[in-house]
Amino acid sequence: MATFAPPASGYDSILVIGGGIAGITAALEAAELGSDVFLVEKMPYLGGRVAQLARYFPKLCPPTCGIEINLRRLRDNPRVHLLTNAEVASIEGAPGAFDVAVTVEPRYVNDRCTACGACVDVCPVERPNAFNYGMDTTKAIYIGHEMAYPMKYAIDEQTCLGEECGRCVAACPYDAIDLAMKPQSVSLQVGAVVVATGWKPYDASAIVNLAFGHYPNIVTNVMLERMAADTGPTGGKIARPSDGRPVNRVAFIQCAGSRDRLHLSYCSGICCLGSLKQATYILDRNPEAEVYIYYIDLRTPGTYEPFADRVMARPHVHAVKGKVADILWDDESGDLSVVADDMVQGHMSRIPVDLVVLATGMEPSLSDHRPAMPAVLDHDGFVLDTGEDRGVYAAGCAREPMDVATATMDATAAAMMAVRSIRKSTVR
Amino acid sequence: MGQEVAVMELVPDLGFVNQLVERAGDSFKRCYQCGTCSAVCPFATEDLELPRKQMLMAQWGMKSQMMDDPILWVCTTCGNCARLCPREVDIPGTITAVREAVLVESGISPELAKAFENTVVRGNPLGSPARRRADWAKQAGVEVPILSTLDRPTDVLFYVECYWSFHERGQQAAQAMARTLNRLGVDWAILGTEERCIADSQRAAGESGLFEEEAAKNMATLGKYTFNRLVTPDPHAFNALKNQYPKLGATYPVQHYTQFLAERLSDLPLKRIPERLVTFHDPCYLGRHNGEYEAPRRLLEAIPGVRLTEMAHCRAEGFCCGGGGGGVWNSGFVAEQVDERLAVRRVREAVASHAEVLAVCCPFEVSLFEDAVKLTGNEGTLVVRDIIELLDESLAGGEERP
Repeated sequence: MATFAPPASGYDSILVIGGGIAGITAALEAAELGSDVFLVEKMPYLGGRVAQLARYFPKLCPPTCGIEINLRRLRDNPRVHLLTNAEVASIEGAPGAFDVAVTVEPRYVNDRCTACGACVDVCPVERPNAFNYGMDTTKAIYIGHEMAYPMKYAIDEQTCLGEECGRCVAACPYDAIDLAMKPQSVSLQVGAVVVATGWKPYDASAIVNLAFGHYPNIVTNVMLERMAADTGPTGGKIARPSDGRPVNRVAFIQCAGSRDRLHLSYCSGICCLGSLKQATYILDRNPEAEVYIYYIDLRTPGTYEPFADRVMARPHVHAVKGKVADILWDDESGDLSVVADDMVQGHMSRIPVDLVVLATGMEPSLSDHRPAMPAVLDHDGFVLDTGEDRGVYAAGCAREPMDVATATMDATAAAMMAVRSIRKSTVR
Repeated sequence: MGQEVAVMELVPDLGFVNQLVERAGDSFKRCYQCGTCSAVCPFATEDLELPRKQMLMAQWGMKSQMMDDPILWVCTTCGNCARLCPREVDIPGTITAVREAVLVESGISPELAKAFENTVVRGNPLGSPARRRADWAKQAGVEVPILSTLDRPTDVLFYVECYWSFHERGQQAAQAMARTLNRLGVDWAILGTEERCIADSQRAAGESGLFEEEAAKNMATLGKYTFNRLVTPDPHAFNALKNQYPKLGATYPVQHYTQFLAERLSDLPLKRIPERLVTFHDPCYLGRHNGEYEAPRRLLEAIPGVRLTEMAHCRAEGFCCGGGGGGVWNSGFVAEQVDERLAVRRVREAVASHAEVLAVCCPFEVSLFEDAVKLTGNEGTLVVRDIIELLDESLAGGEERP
């Protein structure tokens, strides 16, 4: 890839950190208002967590169209300067004049790549596919996902055998692979920053009593999204991971590590809706399936209440008020038994199921990785609004947990704040 | 529709709520009724929602309802509920506070009342004569120094506690401990007949007044002597000395005996004993309440011939033996309230682990588990041994003492 040379825009431009739905939206809104934008994404591709969903609210369509619309806007807009494989190392300065250091990790594939895939055929290394939460593998040279932008291969440095192997280099008809590529430091001058670093699923293995990682038929909500996606590791089939048998009985465990002082103390606000949506994935594939949703409080904020009512009205959906505390496993059958105190019925509930889905919450990406920047993070790692204009604006789940539709509105607002901040500085 | 609904008049007793807050803090007010506690309570059965309902009743000041519910006295304060509580409620502490608040008015089972009375009158819950407290030492085969006769400071004051002093199986363990301390060349002594019960389980059963009276006597006795540390075989005494006595103004360096010995493993000339598969039961008050899971295991793993295996529930997830929180004295009453004794359930787990020996290090456990072994028909399959007995056997060169 050609060395990134930032356009000489002075301090009039805007830095957007994170190329998920919020970051893409903020970058486009600001660019369409006439600002130059640097969009910095740590993965080799844009799309973030939304690209990993099978379907999303409010219309339950696959993310393909939403992302495609944004990518078209992006392709058409020369004001957005994209840096992938890139992370912000530091931001110094004041509103109107920030100096930003960005580290761009080598992609090992340059702009000549046409995504023909000749490299994949010869690559000898299989690696766990993080995009599918480790449920399948890719080669060490891989493409993020079917809507990846830029649509170019990238090499996983951790697993690639390097120049000693070099089979991909020989196989590439376009001379697009350069295993000697080095990290690059880029300095940017910007007037305002939008932090759209997003979220990650809470680590389910930390919830020891829910046995994630011990039994294969316990998955997380984000894994089920990949299972339900046509492009996912199972081609959209939802089956028991242990033996591939059909799923007839499913337990969704709400607040898996949420509203829990031992894990995430807050409510992510989207997991109940997520499970109700995923109940439809199960029932659309197998109308005879039984779905149990264990909850403390079923929370469907805002205008989503009718959706909850519709799903709950389906005869095969059962809500059990009680937090699951234990999951028992039968070695022979692979069946799981879910233990909770059913407080509406007033007795202990032990229900046998084929599949357990842990509705884990959203942890801010910055929770354990806090870059040096003039923003204040709260205890959990969300960007705090201190009431003071620091020229740094959070958008989407970097600010608080939210759904996709809210994140795009939030990003638009953040873009407006950033643009206003720059124009204020210019006028001054 | 056609269904009869029971209507209950509820008059919140705010004085009661304040009393609980004063004794146990206000963490119970955070409870949001998720039921995690009930689902992991070792007593959990089809219709026993302990302690979720107790937390709700505590919040609502339902003193009279709590008093009338015998389930209040079943909890062993084992702490498995609090381990997972998403609101970090001090559930065992709250249950203890409720017991304290209603103890006088509600009345308790005769067996529990007897244990309290024995503690007051004889200084031990078993009702044994106080003057016999050091009688076990006569059969130890080694000299057991009494601190009052030494006329000098000692390094280790070994606080024997009641079950090792008076219970036949406990006495055997105490004798093994005496031999082990002598073999290590430790400068140690016991209080002898001056020792009284630490009474931590009486406290957890609701008798904080008794606990505090005993503590005052014990602190006065301990104040007469100079020693570097207390070592005790009883995790409940260990818990009280470590966590409760400082609140009453007395802080002593204290170790459970497994911690003390684990630090001196290299000085113990352990010899091979006949090979056997051993599983270890974590005492609630050593493990969950005080975070010590390693010392007992280090001792067991060091004995040549011992192969250690774990039960399905171990360490922080370990099941209770049923002895804590007064349960050891209340077994007849508790048996009427629940389907299965906890010791029975634990012994079934030990048998399922294929272990030949169930190793313990809490004085309540030996008798509770040995009874459960008989009740479940596992005599000949599983034996119960205190870790000190296995160590003593190994130190003696592999000869198991009769």
